[in-house]
Formats: sequence, structure tokens, C-alpha cells
Amino acid sequence: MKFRIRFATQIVGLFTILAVVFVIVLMVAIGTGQGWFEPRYEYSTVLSSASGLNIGMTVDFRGFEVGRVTNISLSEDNNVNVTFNIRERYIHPVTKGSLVELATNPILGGTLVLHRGTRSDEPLEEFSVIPEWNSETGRAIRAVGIVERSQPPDPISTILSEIDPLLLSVSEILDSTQDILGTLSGTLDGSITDGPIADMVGQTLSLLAVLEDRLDDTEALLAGSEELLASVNRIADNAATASDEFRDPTGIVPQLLGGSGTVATLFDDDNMLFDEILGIFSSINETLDEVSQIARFAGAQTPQLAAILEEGREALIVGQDVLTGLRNNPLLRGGIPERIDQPSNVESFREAQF
Amino acid sequence: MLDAVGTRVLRAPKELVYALGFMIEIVRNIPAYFRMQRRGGGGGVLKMQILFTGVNALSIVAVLSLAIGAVIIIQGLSVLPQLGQGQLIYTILITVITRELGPILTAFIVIARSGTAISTELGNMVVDHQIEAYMATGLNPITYLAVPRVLGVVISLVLLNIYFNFFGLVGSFLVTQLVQPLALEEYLFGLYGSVTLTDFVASFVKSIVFGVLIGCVATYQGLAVERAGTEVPVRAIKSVGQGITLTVIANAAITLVSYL
Repeated sequence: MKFRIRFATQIVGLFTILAVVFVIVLMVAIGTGQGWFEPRYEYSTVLSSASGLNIGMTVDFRGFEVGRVTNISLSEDNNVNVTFNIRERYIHPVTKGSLVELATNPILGGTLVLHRGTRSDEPLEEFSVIPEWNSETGRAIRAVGIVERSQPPDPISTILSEIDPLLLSVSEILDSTQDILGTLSGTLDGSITDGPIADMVGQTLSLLAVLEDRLDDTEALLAGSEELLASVNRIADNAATASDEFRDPTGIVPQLLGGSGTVATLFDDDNMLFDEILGIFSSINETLDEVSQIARFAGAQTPQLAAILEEGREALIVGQDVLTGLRNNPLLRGGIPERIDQPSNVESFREAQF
Repeated sequence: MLDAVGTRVLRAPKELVYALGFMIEIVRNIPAYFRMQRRGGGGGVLKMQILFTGVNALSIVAVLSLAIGAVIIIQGLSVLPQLGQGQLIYTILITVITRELGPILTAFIVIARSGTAISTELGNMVVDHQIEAYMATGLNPITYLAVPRVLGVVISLVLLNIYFNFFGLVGSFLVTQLVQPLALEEYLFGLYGSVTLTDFVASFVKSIVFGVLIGCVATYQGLAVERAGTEVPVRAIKSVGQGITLTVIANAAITLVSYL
């Protein structure tokens, strides 16, 4: 008899037992791996939409499946209540400050991503509500910084999850800009008197008032400088008179060389002349002090003085030309030579009418 | 021609009702078969049916599942990581091997090997008047001939499906090591993470339903032979055609229900 027919019962028995053993081993392995026999803790969250969400969806923490979504329902206030469980061995990331985020992926569906709270290491009580990442509570928790973000399980979900906060940030920036513009507008029209922008505007106004005072002072200073210039003019006139006296043959020099009132007579006058000269020197000294003061002031008024000096220089050049012309009078010599103007590198700060 | 079409249309519902009645009769006779087996009769038929349908088909199922599993893993590992979806290989493996190809490919193998064999054997028994002899001796041919064959096909299909999964999931991993080495821990971890109880239940239910359909169709077509030996191959071919059609329809229906 053929072996298979002879031992048909044993072969069929072995065939069946091996299959059953394989199934049992596989079931036990999968059950252990997926925590079929493991206690689970129930939590819930509230989402604004159930789009991409389904019962049985995994709850992921740093790439590990830590639980599953068990129930989804629409509440009376039109929010989506989501109930999910967390396996006992992965309960430690569920702490105070923990958040959940629905990471949807148009190709692979999605997952509920758990973000660990860092406020405490104590596991959150069962049946607690864990806020959603983008909810108001979630944002407040993120602002305080007591949550640690874990990445979604696949690149597409990661990209999609990055876009949401980006849009949220843009929205927040726009809101802030709108607030600032509103405050600025209110401050400028006077309806808002408190706050940093109002303070800034107030300080600017104070600065403008101070600047106005400074301008008044500057104006007064300019008026004083006019008096100073008048004094300088008088000194220049005196110097010119003295020069004329020296040039005149009938002036003081011949008188000094003459019989009465000569130099000898001047020196023999019981120091009167000396005292007079001393007095003159002291007057000159005082004048020099004044000139020194004027020079210091002129130093502060350099641009104006430079302009004056420039004009004086030009006047002297013209005078020189006149003298040269006289010397070269056609009746005497060859006339006035043509001069090549050398423009000054100092610009006049005065207008022609000044 | 109109006559022929009309006759066929009118006969089809009658045959359907008759076939459903035959199926109910088989199910109704299952307790009777076990009672008979307890008394020491008819056990050999079931055993031999499992031997011929299950054990003898193991080699072809093993080769087929090994090849398909290896191809899925190799193709998946070469394409999916480029899209950043390497983990998806395990979901594809479970979906293809466990949920879809496991039950339906083993069903096709059983239809091709055992469905035709059962139809031919029963058809020849009808032609040889053996069925009449059984009836004359007081043995119900449904209880004695059809039930153990249907049960044998069902049990064989379930077991073959398990072996298909074994070779497809575990054996293909060994084949993959020759081409693209993969850590066993990584493979098993990925597999455990992707498989669900629903996958196994769907696969198990499919095997049972396919087994019942194949067994019932094969025995029905075999016993439907009337008198000539030439009817036997015709009925055998019908058995294959109807078996494949019903299996595919049932597969679609069960898949649909499992995803609802």
C-alpha cells in the first residue's frame, strides 16, 4: 500500500496540528506585540473635524503605536469627541500638558499623534480630556512650553503638520500687525492714551518741544554774533585810519620828527608817554582778550567766519588788483594784467543779499 | 434558438433553487454524518478527502505562496522606501497574502485539483449505478458521499490557507534574505504592527465559504450526471467554471462586508 494511503490518518493529523500550531503561535505573537491582553487606559479629546479620522486609527508616539481610537461622535456643540485608549506599557508619555494632534495623510490615511507633556512625570488620570494641538487650550499649553512635540509617522504627514503651524503663525502675525496698526491709529487720533506706542508718541512730542527751544537759542546766538561782527568792523576801520596816518607825509611821523612834540620830547615827559603806552598796551591786551574771546566764538562760528574771510580775501584781491593797476597805469606802465580767477574751495554760507 | 434561450432562462431559476436545496441538504446531513462516523462508518472518506485535497496540494501552495511573498517583499522594498513608505510593505503583504490571495489562490488550486476530481468520481459512480447501490443498502448518498467531501474540502481549504500564510509571510522572508537581507526582528515587528485580528477573521471566513461553495458545486455537478459516461467531463468542466465564478463573487462580497 502506498505510504500516504497507509499513514493517511497520521499525515492528516500532522498536517492539521502544524497548521493549528502555526495559527496559535502567530496569534500569541501578534497579540503580545499588539497588546491584545494588555490593560488599556481610556482618554478623550475634542477635535473641530473628523475628516481623516476613523475608529481603529492608531495613536502614535515617536513612531510607536501606543493606542487606538475607539469611538468618534459629534457633540451637541458641533465638535467631534474622540475617545482613544493607551496601552499600559506606553502610559508614561501621557502626562499633564500632553496634547494630541490629528496628522492626516491623503495617501495613507492618518494617525493621532501624542505629544508628551513636560510639566510632570505623573501619568494623567484615566478618562481625562487631552487637548488638541491647535485648540485654544493646546495653543496656551504650547505658549507656556510644557509640551514636547513628536513628529508624525511619515514624511507627508510631517509636511502637512508643518504647514498648519506656519499658517497659524502667519495668521498670528497678521493679527498682531492689525492690533499694532489699530493702536497706532488710536494713539495718533488721541483715542488711546495708554500703552507703549502712546508713550513713544508722547516722548516724540516732548523731543520736538526741546528741539524748538534749541532752535530759539540758536537764533539768539546768531543775533549776538551780528554784534560781534560789528565790533570787528570797527577794529578794522581803526586799523585803516592808522594806516592812512602812517602814509600821510604831513601826519604823525613828521610831527614826531619835528622840533616840538618830537620823540625826544615824548621820552622826556616824566614817563607820561610810557604810562600812556602802558595804558595802550593794557588796552591792547584787553582788546586781545576780547579778540581771543571773539576768536573762540569765531571758532564756533567757523562756517560764517570762513565765509566772511573768503569775502575779505576776495576784497583784498580786488584791492591788490587796483594797486597793481595803479602801478601799471598805462600812463606810467603797461595797464592792469589779466588775472586768472582761482575759485575758492570754501563755499559761501551767505546769500548775496547778506 | 428562441426556444433554446427560453428553455435555459426558465431552467436557470429551477436549477438555482435545486442547488440551494442540495446545499441545505448537505448542511442538514452534517450531524447525520458525524453520528454515522461515531458508529464507525464514513470516516475514511473525510480523511482521504483531506489527504487528497489538502496534503497533496501543499507543495503547489507552498511554492506559489513563497514566490508571491518573495516578489511582494522584493518589489516593495525596492520601490516603497523611495517614496518614504517602507513601512507600507507589511500592510501590503498582509492585505495581499492573508486577506486576498491566500484564500482565493488556494480555492483556485482546490477547484482545479479536487473540484474536478470530486465531480468526476461522483459522476462515474452515478454512471456505474453505485449511488443506486448505496441507496438500495439504506445509505444516504448525501450523508455518506457528499458531506465528507464537502467537509474535507472546507477543512483542507482552511488548512491550506494557513500554510499559504505561513509560507507567504515567513518563508518568503527567508527567500528575501538571499536577495535583499532584512533583519528578522525588523520584519516580525513590522508584521505584528500591521496585522489585525480582522485580517485573520476575514481570511478564515473566506476559506470556509469558498470550501462550502467548491464542495457543494463539485458534489452537485458530480451527482447531476444522469446516465452517460460522456456527461462526466462536461459536469467536471461545469464544476470548475461555476466554482471559480462563485468563489470570485463570494470573495468580493466578503471583502466588501469586511470593510463596511
